[in-house]
Amino acid sequence: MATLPAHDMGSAANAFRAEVRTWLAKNWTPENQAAHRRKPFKERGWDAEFSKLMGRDGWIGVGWPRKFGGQGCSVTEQLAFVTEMANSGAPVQAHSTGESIVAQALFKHGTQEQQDEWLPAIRRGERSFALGYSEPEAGSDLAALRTRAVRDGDHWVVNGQKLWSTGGDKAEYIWLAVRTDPEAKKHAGISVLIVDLHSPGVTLRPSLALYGKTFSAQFYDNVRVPATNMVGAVNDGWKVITDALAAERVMIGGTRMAGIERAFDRLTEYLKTAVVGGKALRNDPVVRDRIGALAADIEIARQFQMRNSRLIEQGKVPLHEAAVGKVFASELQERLGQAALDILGTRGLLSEDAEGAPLGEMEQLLRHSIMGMIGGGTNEIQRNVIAQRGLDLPR
Amino acid sequence: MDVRLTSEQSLLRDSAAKFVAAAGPKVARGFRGQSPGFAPARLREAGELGWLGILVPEANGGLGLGLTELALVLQQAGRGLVCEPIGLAAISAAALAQGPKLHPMLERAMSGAALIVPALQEGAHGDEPSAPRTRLARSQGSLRVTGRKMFVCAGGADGFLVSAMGPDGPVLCLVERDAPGCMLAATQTVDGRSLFTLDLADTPANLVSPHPGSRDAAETLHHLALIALSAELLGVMERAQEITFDYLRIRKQFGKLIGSFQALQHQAVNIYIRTEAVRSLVFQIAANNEPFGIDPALAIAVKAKASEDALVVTQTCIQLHGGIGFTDEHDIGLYLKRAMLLSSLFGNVAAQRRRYAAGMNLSA
Repeated sequence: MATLPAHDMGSAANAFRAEVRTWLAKNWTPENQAAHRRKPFKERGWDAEFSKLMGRDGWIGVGWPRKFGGQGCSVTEQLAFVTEMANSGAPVQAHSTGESIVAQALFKHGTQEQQDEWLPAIRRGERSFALGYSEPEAGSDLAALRTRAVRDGDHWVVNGQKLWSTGGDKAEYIWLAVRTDPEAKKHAGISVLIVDLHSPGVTLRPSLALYGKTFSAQFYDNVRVPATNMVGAVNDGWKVITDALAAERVMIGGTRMAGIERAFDRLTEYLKTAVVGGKALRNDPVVRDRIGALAADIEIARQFQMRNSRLIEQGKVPLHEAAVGKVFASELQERLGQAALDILGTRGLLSEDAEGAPLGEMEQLLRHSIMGMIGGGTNEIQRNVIAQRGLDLPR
Repeated sequence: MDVRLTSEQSLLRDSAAKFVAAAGPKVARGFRGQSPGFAPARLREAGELGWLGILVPEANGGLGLGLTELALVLQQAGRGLVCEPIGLAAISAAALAQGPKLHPMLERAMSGAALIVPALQEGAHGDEPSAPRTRLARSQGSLRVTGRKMFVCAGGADGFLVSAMGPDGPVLCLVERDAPGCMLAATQTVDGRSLFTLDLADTPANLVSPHPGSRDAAETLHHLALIALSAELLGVMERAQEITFDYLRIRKQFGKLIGSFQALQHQAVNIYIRTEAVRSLVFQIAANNEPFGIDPALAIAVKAKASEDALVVTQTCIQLHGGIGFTDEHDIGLYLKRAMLLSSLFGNVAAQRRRYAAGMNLSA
């Protein structure tokens, strides 16, 4: 058994991927990687200095239109890029939310001033964002959100509470969904604000997620936000949010797929030498069957992604197609996590920070996969989208 | 679906439930990363209640009860995420009491004054319990054991029941924590508890006599461990699903109780069926097997089933909670982590199935 065959993404994307690899070889050296791995698990993945380095060399915003300083890469090239970055394990979280969700929204809904203020800084890796969407009463039913913003002169005054913001304990800014018209129908009274997390009145409560990384709840107590920080028109926030999400869903899938590919390669690497009861584990027919099934599913997940990126390149918005990709990939990740625990045996239990934890964070894979099945809209919600929008089944 | 219990069994279950009421997720949370990861006083309390001697004959000071009673207590321990190693201590006490001669350590093991735990596992993929690589030899008139045991729940332990290959076949022997040549190294697990690697180098050991009717004492203890862990897993999945169903009854989204959505109802029913299947298997096997004569195939089957289903059930419980279930603050994640730990001790589902197939001469 060897590693997965390379993913053929077409000649342009393949060539672009090779460029990314060359850069990574110089800048994400084994020494950098070892230093990064010495950090506690919950600190890994977020590195403001590395983000600035990527920004310096033009690797943030490769898919942005040229007029905003990007490289104007095709969607497939972007997919190759995010997959390669994630496969390398290089820390990108300090800039990724700004680069993706926030920038996408600013392209379409930002004013000239907002674009000039935020986009160059994001591209240099100097602005970090978390997302402020979920609330205690607004999970799957996001449009039920209650955090209020009331206009007061040149400011909005924000009161409320947000939950489960990944990176919310480290980011400088939050992309905050707020209710600006409590009288309007649910989806109609929402707006989006960029809020400095160091503003007076913001209280952060970081906590640990099940997969061993942090996220944070935030409490907003009369937080004053300049009115110029509202992106899109007042009460038009639902559109801002959904547009940005649609554009980003495919890229998010790329990151998830990379985690899956990396873990799969480590598992097969382990199988090269594993011996159980005097026999090579790789010759166990059950193990072979499982590895083969996983490899096939990984190919399928890659193809789902390629289909989605082609749809975007044709100017379409994959909606139920993106949901299919998300459901399939997140559940594949869960199957892979279970297979890893079965194949590694009791050793798979060691915690991510344990000395000699096998193959880096394997048991964590299973717990992380649950995030894939819940975060960004639970798989139940995705299945509703597929049934109603994709299959045209009655509501 | 209730298991039909005698009035004595019901009393035992109720007293275990009472004990567990003082445990629970909050207490378990407090023990994460602690050493030892439990309260020794609570272990002694379990000893006073008789549970550590539950399988020990009455003549030797135990309760003289069977596997059903053991399972009833451990099911409760699983429900309460109890951190005291009641199951491991109870089966170890049973192992010390199975021979014709009373073991000098038995009384302290039954009272909880001393904690003796099994140290049987040698690899990450489950073991053939009758073929340990650890060796027992006689040197200068005393017995010495040499080898390495893995994934030992050694936190707070005073001694270990070590399986070893002796001159005449597999044996079980008692090794004291402070014996010369006995070394422990801890590793953190996902559950926040430590598992230990136990290295033995020419370490003095005491032979534990096997039960007159059993092949060897090491195998007997291994199968007892499989039943004990399965019963505890049953409790974990049972309680996790209760917490989840309660949440489905109160959480509203889209203006409705989420428990009214069929997609969630069906998932709830699926985990309910899995839990009932494990319950039925655990208690049937408990009712039909003697502690020292457990049918290996059944012990393996129940550990395989409980290990697999406990993971599926606890993962589904988190999925049914949605985002809140993914937080470390919410208790439901503790049940998944406990299920991961118990599922993989003494061999996970894959290891059990491999051994089952080997036992049936089905292997390639």
